[in-house]
Amino acid sequence: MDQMANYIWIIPAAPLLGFMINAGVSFFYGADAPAGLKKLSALLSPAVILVSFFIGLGIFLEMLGHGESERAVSQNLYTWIKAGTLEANATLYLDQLSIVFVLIITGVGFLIHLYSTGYMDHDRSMIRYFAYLNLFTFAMLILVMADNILLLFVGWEGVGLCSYLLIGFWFAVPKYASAGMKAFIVNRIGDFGFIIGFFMLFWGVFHYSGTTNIAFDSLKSVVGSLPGWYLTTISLLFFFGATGKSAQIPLYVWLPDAMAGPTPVSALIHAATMVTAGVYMIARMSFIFIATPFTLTVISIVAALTAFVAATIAITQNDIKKVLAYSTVSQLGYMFLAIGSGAFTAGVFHVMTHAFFKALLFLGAGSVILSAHHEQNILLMGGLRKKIPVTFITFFIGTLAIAGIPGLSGFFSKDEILWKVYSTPNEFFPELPLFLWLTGLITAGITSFYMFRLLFLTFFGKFRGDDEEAYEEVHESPLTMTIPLMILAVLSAVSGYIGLPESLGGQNLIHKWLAPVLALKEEPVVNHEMESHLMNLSILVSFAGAFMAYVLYILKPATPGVIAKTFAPIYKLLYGKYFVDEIYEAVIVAPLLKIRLMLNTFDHKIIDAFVNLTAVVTKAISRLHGIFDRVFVDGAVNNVATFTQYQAGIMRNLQNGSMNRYLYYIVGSFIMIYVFIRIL
Amino acid sequence: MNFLFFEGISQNPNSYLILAIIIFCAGIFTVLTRKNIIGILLGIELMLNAGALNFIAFSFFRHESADYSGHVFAIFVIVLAAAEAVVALAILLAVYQQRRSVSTDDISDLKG
Amino acid sequence: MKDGIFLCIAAVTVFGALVTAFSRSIINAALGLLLALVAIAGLYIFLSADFVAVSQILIYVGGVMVLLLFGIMLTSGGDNIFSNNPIMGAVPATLITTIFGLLGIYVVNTSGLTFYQGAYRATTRDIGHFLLREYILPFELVSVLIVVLIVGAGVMLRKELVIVRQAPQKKEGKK
Repeated sequence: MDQMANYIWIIPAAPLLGFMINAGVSFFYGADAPAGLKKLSALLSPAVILVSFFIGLGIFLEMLGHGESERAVSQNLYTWIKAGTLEANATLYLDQLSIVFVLIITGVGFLIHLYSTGYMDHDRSMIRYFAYLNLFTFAMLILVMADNILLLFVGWEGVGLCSYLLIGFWFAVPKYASAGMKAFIVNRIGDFGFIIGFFMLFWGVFHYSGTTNIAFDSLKSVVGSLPGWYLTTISLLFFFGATGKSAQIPLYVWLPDAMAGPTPVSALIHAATMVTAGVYMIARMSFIFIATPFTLTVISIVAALTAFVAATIAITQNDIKKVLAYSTVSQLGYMFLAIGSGAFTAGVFHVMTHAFFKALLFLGAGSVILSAHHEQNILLMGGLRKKIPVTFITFFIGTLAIAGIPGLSGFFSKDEILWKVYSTPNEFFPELPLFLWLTGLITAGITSFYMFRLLFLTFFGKFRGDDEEAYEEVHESPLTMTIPLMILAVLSAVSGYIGLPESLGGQNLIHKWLAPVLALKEEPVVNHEMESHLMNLSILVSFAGAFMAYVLYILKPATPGVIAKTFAPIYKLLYGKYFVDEIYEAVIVAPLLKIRLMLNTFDHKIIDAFVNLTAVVTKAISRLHGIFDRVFVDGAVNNVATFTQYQAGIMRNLQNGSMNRYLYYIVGSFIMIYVFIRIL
Repeated sequence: MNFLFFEGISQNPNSYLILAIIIFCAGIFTVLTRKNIIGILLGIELMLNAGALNFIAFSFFRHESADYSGHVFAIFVIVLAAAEAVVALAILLAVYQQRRSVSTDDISDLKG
Repeated sequence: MKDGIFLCIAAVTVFGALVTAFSRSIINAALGLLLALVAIAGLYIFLSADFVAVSQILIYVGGVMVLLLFGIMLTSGGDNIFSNNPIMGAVPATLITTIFGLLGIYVVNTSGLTFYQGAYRATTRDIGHFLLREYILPFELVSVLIVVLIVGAGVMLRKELVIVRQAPQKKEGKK
């Protein structure tokens, strides 16, 4: 195997190289680079990702040829931090878990880069865009390939930075810029928890077991020595960090706003990769979480709530990207639901399938937006399927996948999660799994509903835009954009089969692949019959959702308005996104601003006053000093000078340059000496 | 005042000493009143000779046996006077080249 | 006889010294000095200092005086040799000289030194012995000093030569 393992470093290095070149060119030329350079950048940026992808693929293939326990490879680049006994190495580490993420990041990343070359073709700052995108890929790869938490945190912050930069990519629009800031700040709150978490972990590990090695491998063996409450605190803090990055309640609010960025960014960062960093982090430290059932329970509840809330909001949204954003939040809720049940493999499986179909949906949405001349409101679309058939077909496949229609990837991963949720007993609340499962099931139905609503409103029916001309001008996107769509569509359709559950006669390959590196709960009782029943139920729910959407938006398009009016309060609540932003504004932001004002006043009135007082006192003392200086010190100096001058004035008369005078002095002195010696 | 007797006046030390004082005073007067540097030099030569005369006189009258230290000193004085005259004249000529004057009134650069 | 000659010589000496002191002409002053120096050489003979007397004639009269006369001739300082400044004038100079002379006479009278009858001897050989035995170091130092003086005097006067040499070279360059 070790042939490819020596080239691990290339995986993050290639995007870094791409970033450096792009950033250099962008820095040198500013916004308006020559067209030739733009083309070169459009060629280079996907190419570097492709290099990483092939290296990753090579390593993956070599891994396949090894036994379960020998698959992990690592490469130590250099000793990064050495503080006392603490030592953090910049070591790249690839095992079954991280290789899955590497392949997703580079594979999907490559497709999105390719798509971007078409999507961003006319943008002035395309090179800057690719610089950010490459940097993001680099940071994300560092995140998943990190050998220890500190290095992971570097990637963690790096992706946060790139997310901020790309959301605010069109920073000239204040709304977009502030969306970037919101994402950054909200993430920061989560990061705060994460930082405290791993500091506590370092301290605890050192205190209780004396280990100073913070690599995941060594942590795995020593966390057992930490007391339960301590570990629970750490894991809760880690989860809090994950809620920021992975958009869970209470910190999910930044993700819908993050749609301000270019659509491929939404696809790559805010759907496929970055937002799953929280899932990855928890899966990576599954050995901690599995030992803290309380945290897992919290995760389950939060995740179920997130999935449900986000899905309900998605029903009423009219912005095509907002719908997908809330859908992403909801799907992330599913992933955490799996984690909360200890089914890390199911979570990672869903990460993968979600990466495919959600990237597909976002890219499809981007294609729609581009075709419809930057129109994002689905109420003003309709009937687009004839105009943009490729986009429509791929988007349709994506919708089927996310809605959980049997045979496509979303169905398998979602069902796996639901089954695991249902079958994993909870030690605190025995009824909880049932509720969680029910929530998940309902959410699946809602998901199916809002996705088909989106599909129907966008592609079916009549065009609802203002003028016919706009409709006539709708055109299919270029090949650079449709090819990624097609590839992703295929992946969305078939990728589910690597996780084909045993109840359907499959092998659940992904589970077997990941299981050795993840800490897992004991396998629940195998009950294929029950699993099949539940599966049928969820299929039913999915179709029901789709059917409802069909009825409401194809057969009787007038009904939704009636329903909205009938249940106006609920509709308003959902349309207003539960007013979470407003609540945060009122409960957290406004008091903070008030406190800021108070502090400002305090600053002005007390601290400034004190400072000013000090200044006044100092000034007064200085003045006294000045007087003393002038009168006494200067006076003394001047008097000495004056006295010297006076003396010199006397003496200089002696020295008048006349030789005769000197002769007089000589003779006079001689006489005096004579008199002194002889007479006196 | 026992030196104003004529017998053996040439054998009386005081007569030489008084003569030396007269010459020395003439030298001092010359030095103090002359404006010309060469004049000052003449005065100095007079004073030096007065000194040398004293040396010889004391050498003659102060020793029972032969002791010629005084003579040696006189010779040194003469030699050094010659040397001094050489240097003084060299300086004088150098100054004269620059200033076209040997008057002490014109040479007062050391005025403070 | 002996005293008579002594008085004559002494008178000449005083005369020469006074001419040096009071003559208006610098040439006369120099000649007065010449007279005084020759007369002092005579006094040396009275004091049994034949070698010193000869040295005096040779060095002073033959060397220094010629040097001084040349100096006088090379510098045009004929008239007005006395200072006009009243402070430097005759009155304070006279005063100081008088004080000095009276002090000298006072010292001579109150010295209380023991004097012996001087004996006349040939001195040249003994002076030679003294110079090369007891006073060998001062003797050598004086010779070094004289060498330095010769070199110094040469250096001091060399400048003029340089200037004189350069001036025609420039003219030739212009041609």
